[in-house]
Amino acid sequence: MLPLMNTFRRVPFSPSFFKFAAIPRRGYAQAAQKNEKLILSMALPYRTVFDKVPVTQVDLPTEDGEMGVLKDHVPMVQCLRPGVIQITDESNAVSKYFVSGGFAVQQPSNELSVTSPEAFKLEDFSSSVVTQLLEKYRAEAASSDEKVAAEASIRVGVLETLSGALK
Amino acid sequence: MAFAWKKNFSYSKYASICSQTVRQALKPEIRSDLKGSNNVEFVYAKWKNGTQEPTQTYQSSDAEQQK
Repeated sequence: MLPLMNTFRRVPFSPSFFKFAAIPRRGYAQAAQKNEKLILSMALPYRTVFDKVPVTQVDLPTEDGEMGVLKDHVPMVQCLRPGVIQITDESNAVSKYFVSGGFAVQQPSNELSVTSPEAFKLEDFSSSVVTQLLEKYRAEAASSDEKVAAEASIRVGVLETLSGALK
Repeated sequence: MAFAWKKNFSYSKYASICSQTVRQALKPEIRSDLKGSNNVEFVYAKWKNGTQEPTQTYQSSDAEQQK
């Protein structure tokens, strides 16, 4: 009863002072409905990988460490490291994607939204290419030019994580 | 260490370095499917004292490697 009492307010219906129009009274936003299951949406700038798919568990490589998200996880915003996202769906099938970074946002409505510049399944990578690139960038990381070395060491970090995931 | 890239790079630069590296590590057949979807290419001109300097082109380094 109480929420409905103030739903509408009467406003003079111009030009008359005696006629009134009932317009909805503005109130606070309602909390979103909480989903029963963890709903995953994972998107890249150019492709949607998952679109509101109910899943059981999502393992994320965040800057705060590896974390597993189940349903009813506390709402959070996490910055992702380059690493493997492992998704366990409702039939207990596991899919793994290597992401180059991005963000993961857990909403109070049990929606987990993962965004990343790049994400590929582990089968899409080539171990031999990774080894070659590692050689190249490790050499650059030893360079005396700070900028070159700093950039190369980031690449080496990504490639080392990737080669660990591919084993 | 968390956010180690903050020392040397902006997030934007760090994100592009990581995503370029990931793309480079793909199998060649998958890579050709992408066809430069993440390339950035634009023409710009700086202004000085009310006059426009000659236009210059920027192309992200990925573009060359994707050929």
